[in-house]
Amino acid sequence: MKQTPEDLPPKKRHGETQLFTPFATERMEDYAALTLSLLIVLIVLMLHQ
Amino acid sequence: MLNDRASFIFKAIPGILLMFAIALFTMGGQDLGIPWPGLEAYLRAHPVTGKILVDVLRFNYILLSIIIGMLVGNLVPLPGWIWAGISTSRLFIKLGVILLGSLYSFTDVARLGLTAILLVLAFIIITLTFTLWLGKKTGLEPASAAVLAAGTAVCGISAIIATAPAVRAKTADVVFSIGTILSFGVASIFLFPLVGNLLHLTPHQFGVWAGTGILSSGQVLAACLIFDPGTTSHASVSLKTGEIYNLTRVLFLPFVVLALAVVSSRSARLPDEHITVHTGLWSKFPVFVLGFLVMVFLTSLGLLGPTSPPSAELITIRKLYNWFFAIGLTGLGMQISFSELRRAGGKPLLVGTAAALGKAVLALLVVLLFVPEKP
Repeated sequence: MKQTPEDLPPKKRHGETQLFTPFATERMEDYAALTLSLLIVLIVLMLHQ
Repeated sequence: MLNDRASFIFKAIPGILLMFAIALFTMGGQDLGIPWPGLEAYLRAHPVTGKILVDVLRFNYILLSIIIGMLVGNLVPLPGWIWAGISTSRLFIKLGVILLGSLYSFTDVARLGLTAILLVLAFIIITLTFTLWLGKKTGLEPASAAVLAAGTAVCGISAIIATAPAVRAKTADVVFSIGTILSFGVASIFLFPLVGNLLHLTPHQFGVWAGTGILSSGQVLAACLIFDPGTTSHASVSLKTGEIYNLTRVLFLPFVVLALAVVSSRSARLPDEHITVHTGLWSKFPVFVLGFLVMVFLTSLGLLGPTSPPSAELITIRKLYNWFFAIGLTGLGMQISFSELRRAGGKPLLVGTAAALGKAVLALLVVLLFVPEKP
């Protein structure tokens, strides 16, 4: 199976050390966390209604 | 674009399942109706392991997840495709931190936050000044000293990565600094709870110490949960205190990056036209903290039900953030590479260790002398 850069462990990507994350920027990761948490809170509130 | 996202989500599933399986193995499956009490429960049940490993060395489910994660990540030849899911560990930690906002009211945040701002600011200034001064004394390059100063003063590896382009640090500086900060961080996870236990610190005092003295956000969470795991009906006090200090420190990151960029460009005589308030401050602002504040807002207004005793909604949210932290910290352990720890060396190791150790000891002294047993 052909491997893409995302498939490789952090220590082997690009031959240099970096904080590995699937998001292009840390800001995008923050937005993903905000969206998911909003979704979770809504589901929790609906479940306990 | 949508196809790429769908493809990534699909690829992430095996890694997320592996982190979840390790967390389930150590934590137990009662919350999910799975009849497995967890590795921690087995260790606790035996008189010898219960006394030595759990009570003294604090081998609870969080520490066990991190250790098993480190062992699996380094010793087991995992297929390449599994790393896509493991790389989402920081997202799980951020999700947990946002939901953790449900533990606080505005009064809590104001009371804890005021002391936190003063203490954290004092420690950032002391650590930055000391690291830059020691770097100069030992002949470290200004850019190398700047990334190390950011790593020891603000929030570990994230700060190093954020500062490196602003101070034009070389890859070697970044690698040495990350190795040093990572080594100290791994040692902190094991040593902070042990020392806190030996000195009989209260959960609140431990939270202040960990939030001020440990360098990376994930490791503050881990140490606080190892020291005082809490329960769904009685949330972890050290986590509640430690996270406020941690978030206060993280909020200072953009200002520290800007200050270091200015100091570094002056000392290295670089043109500073690329340093603007926009690139320096807003682009580095951790926006997920806003989610945490919204949760505090919702809890304070009672929109998630009563807090004492906690409503069914709050209990579900507490269970969820406990799982998110366990999964995220397992992934954090899996991404700690032994080969990267060995890369710590040279002058950055000397300067970084002196700064990190000095900060931890000074923070402990401040806690023992000035911080009350309860908030």
